[in-house]
Amino acid sequence: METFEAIKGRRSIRKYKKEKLPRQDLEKILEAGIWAPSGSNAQPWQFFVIDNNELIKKIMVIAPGIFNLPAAMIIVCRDMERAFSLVGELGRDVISLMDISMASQNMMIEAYDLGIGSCPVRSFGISALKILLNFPEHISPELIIALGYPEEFLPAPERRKLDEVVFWYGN
Amino acid sequence: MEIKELKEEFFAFLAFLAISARNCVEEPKLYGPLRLVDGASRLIEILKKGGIEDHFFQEIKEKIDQKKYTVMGDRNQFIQFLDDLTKDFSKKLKGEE
Repeated sequence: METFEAIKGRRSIRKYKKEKLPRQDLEKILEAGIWAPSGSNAQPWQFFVIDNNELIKKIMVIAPGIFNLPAAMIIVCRDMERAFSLVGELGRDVISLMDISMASQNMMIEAYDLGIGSCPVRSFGISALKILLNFPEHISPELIIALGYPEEFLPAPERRKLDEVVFWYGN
Repeated sequence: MEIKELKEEFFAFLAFLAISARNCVEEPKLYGPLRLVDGASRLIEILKKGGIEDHFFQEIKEKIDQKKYTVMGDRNQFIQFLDDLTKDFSKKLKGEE
């Protein structure tokens, strides 16, 4: 698949088929994540993969932003200690968020290329999730990427036009 | 549905309300209305599982589940959907439907 086709084709999928995802596909998605750029090459991310239905259902209880049962979830976290030790306060407070965002986009694009739908979800109880999964204090869950084969594929919302958001300087 | 299962359903529903309440402190303003109507849909589902099935409830749930995602893409359409929903209840109250 052409890169641009994948970028334009990806949608946030919120309804999934029950079919489980192959382990090798999940690994490829995660591999795409770790090839994202990061400030000072800090790679301040940690990914927790949940593909057990019972645990997914428990997480859904504390995640109002997930409306239907996905086949798997990747919980994208920042390692705050690593971000601070390698990139300082700016790394911990700002750049690490950019880093995991780029990793997340890589993973969702790769998922789309594999025919897997995804949806980035921030609407979950951060403290509740940390307790549920016994995360140490320095691991901060920032995003849940819900994954599954699409049950429905909604049309893309309109994008703001290029001339509204792009300003050229130069020739 | 057994009482134990019903308790589990309500536990999940109450957790949904509590987490939503907390998240609404920072989330976009329209996510509050979204959580309320999504909560209504979830409650209707629990009632159905508990044997309380109702045609009107089911229509409301279907409408919510079909239209709730407009909050992400079309603010006006989402608000129109909420308006329509309130009218549905009002008409039902008047005995028109």
